[in-house]
Amino acid sequence: MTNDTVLGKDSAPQVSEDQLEHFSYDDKIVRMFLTAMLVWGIVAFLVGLIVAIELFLPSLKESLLNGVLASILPAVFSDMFVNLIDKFFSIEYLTFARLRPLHTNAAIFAFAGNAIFAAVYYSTQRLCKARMWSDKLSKMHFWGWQLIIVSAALTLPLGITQSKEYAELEWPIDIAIAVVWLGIFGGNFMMTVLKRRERHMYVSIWFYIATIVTVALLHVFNNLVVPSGFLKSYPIYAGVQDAFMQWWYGHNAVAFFLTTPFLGLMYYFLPKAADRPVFSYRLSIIHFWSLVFIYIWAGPHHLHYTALPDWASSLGMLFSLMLWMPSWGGMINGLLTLRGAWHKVLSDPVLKFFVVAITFYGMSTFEGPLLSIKSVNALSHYTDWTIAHVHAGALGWNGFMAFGMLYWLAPRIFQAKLWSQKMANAHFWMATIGILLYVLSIYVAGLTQGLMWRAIDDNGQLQYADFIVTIDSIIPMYYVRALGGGLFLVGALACAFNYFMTWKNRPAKYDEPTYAAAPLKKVYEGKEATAEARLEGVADMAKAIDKFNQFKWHRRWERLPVRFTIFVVISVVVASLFEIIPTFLIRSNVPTIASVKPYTPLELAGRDVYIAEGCYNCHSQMIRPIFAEELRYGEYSKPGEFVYDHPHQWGSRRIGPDLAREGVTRPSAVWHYRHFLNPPDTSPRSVMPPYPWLFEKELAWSSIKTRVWAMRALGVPYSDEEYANARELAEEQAKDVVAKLVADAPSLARKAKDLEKTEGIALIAYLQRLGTDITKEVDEDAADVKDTANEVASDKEAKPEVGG
Amino acid sequence: MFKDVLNSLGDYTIFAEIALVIFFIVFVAVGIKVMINPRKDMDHMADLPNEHDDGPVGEEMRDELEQKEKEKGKDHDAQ
Ligand code: HEC
Repeated sequence: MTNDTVLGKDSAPQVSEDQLEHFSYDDKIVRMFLTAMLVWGIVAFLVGLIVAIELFLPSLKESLLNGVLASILPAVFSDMFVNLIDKFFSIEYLTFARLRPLHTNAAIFAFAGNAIFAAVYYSTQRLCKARMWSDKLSKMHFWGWQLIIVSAALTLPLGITQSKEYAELEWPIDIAIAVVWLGIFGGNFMMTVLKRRERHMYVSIWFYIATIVTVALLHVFNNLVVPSGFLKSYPIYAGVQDAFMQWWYGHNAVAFFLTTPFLGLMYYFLPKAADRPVFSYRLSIIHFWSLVFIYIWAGPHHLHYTALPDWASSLGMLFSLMLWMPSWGGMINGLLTLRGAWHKVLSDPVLKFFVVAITFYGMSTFEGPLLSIKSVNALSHYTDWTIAHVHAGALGWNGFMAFGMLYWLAPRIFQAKLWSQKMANAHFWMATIGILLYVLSIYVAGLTQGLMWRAIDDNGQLQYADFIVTIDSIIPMYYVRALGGGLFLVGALACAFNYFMTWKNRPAKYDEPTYAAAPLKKVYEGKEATAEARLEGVADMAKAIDKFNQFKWHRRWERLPVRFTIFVVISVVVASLFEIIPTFLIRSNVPTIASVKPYTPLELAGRDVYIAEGCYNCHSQMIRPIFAEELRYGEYSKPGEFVYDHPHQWGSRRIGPDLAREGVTRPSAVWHYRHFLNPPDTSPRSVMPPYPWLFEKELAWSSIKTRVWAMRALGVPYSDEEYANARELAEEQAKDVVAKLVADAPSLARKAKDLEKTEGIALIAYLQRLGTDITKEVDEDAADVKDTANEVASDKEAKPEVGG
Repeated sequence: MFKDVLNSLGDYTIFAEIALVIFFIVFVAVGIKVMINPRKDMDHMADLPNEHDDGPVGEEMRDELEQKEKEKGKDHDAQ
């Protein structure tokens, strides 16, 4: 097809041949992004599978040692497996808490991210009838993004993290993301849209614009930090505000990274694959504006029953419920696009993937609002239910959409028939069964956890006071999940093989068809000519007005993307401000609990160990005012307790127990020491990984002062003395901790000198501090004491009791 | 505690109310705008993804598909 093809049959008014511009599309960049999507997708699924297995490895080991497997397997084999498991657990870079952020980041930013870019580059060029504005920028975008991914894959296992979920990457990488995303990708995209030859902007382009500007905003404002080193920083927000910003980001990342771009993708590729226009274009516009407008408000639903003000979380809940309407409107619009084409769904793997994806979109967007209802959330939050929900979204909606697009694109970009339709169908079934196994088993696990955590017996005591019992009961579900995840991964591998074989069948040289269309300006000159003819015989004045109008009209089309972008920014910013301002007004008004003091330099360093190890991936630090929860963990958390927490460590799930009052409930250093070395020693059948290296690695003593400096820069009231002597103070405290340790376990006396220097001791000091502040007497003026007492009392009165 | 803070800062629920009003206005405005958009424009835009612009193999596959559909239609008529 080397002959020029004239596009835009209806759009372009009769234009003569010499007004046409000739151009071709850059499909090479699509090939690159699509391949990257596949490669990183496999990495993301593989790491996911590994972390899923890690959660039942301890139980497997137990079974190999003393359980069923020990009785079936010959001793040689069980010894070998036990050895393997121990070896695996001795590698610090591969612990659950370090790999999980890698898994989530790879799935979201590498797999889904590259899928988005492949879709945007393919569809934007065609919808705009223009090649990307700059091939160079496209390439820079590709390599810049892959570099960011690689640096994430290196830093996260090394424990270099900001500890904010899905925003873990440290500040230099964050800057790179902002530059590549907004400067390079955003710039190239906007210029392409501005230089387009099709005056209308199809709804997919709208979704892409919303994605680009909103993600940039979220990313920048959630990642404002004060660096205390090349790869270490503290966020400018603390406690409640930090949590609030984080979930404003986290929620809207789901909205604007995993929803809007994929809807753009759906509105483009689904009509293509079905070979018919979308069911209702009008509905798609309403879908767009409702999403852009409502999503932002819904963020606080991640923080129900926490120290966030009630009205904010109620508003979050209300808007979450409202989201249901447009989401289902979109789903119905997608499914009805297939009207009259359902017979094709049976034979075409592309449409199969799309149909399942859209169905999962519907299911997840039904479940999301459900989970935002406070009473449901009281049960579901911190449990695996959320994990099931996000996988229905990420694998079911994003994953199936991406794979459907891949099967549609592969033959077109490689200019060769798909190598095996059968294999694509097999992939479809493996993925579908895999995800069903995953999601169903994890729903069961989540519900079980939620119900067991809150179960109260006749005496008003916790029915399952031992946390481990609640884990025991869901371990079988973890095996099923791994099976489902494994199937999904095998499916993706089949896809990769199919993709590779299709690529092998490509022509020696890709054909690059040229197309022709008139530029926007020419179109209007064309129109003007006819308009003038129409106005023959009318007063000159009227002609002038008419001409002026046409000029404006022409400007209007050219400016459309700019105006549109401004609208999107306004709706996103207004909604954000409505939430953020009141929450931040509280900042200066949170009556700081008088007894809450900054962490000591050693505790601060220990806290950074906690962050680096990613303990927040398994432990929360936020006790909600729920009866059963207070019974289990102690007095519920107050906002005033977190005012020095840069960043907050509230966490979002409880694979292990909450640690907010750990210092109160478990003050013993020796317990922690034994527990970290080998958790089953203190807690039989624990699934927490061992951390022997904590007592081998030296703490970064030389940076302690810088850390205190950064905290001071953020307004944490360390005295000049504390700052000047930060290191000495820390060393002293470490000696104290070890002295107590040795007192309880005299055999450690030999090692005392070495232990004092380790990360583990700092971590223990931090754990011993957790939640103890409000139990302390305040030795300052009496008024302060009274304030605190009042505050705690009035908090109690206002406290809503749920569950139990 | 928050009750005290918020009460001292005035009526915070106003934020929630304004939010709902803004949302409602925008929603209605978008609804009206969509209704009055000319049908021709809407149809044109809805057709944009289905331009013949998918490269050689893409168009070949589309032709094949159309052919198949036609045959299917014929079978249908014959019955
Ligand atoms: C894979 C998830 C996981 C990770 C990662 C993890 N833990 Fe745990 N943790 C658990 C589980 C499960 C328990 C409950 C059983 C037990 O006591 O070992 C637990 C228990 C604890 C306890 C005892 C709580 C109590 O009072 O009963 C502490 C303290 C603790 N973890 C601290 C940490 C720290 C610090 C880190 C990071 C270095 C960490 N954990 C990482 C899962 C995890």
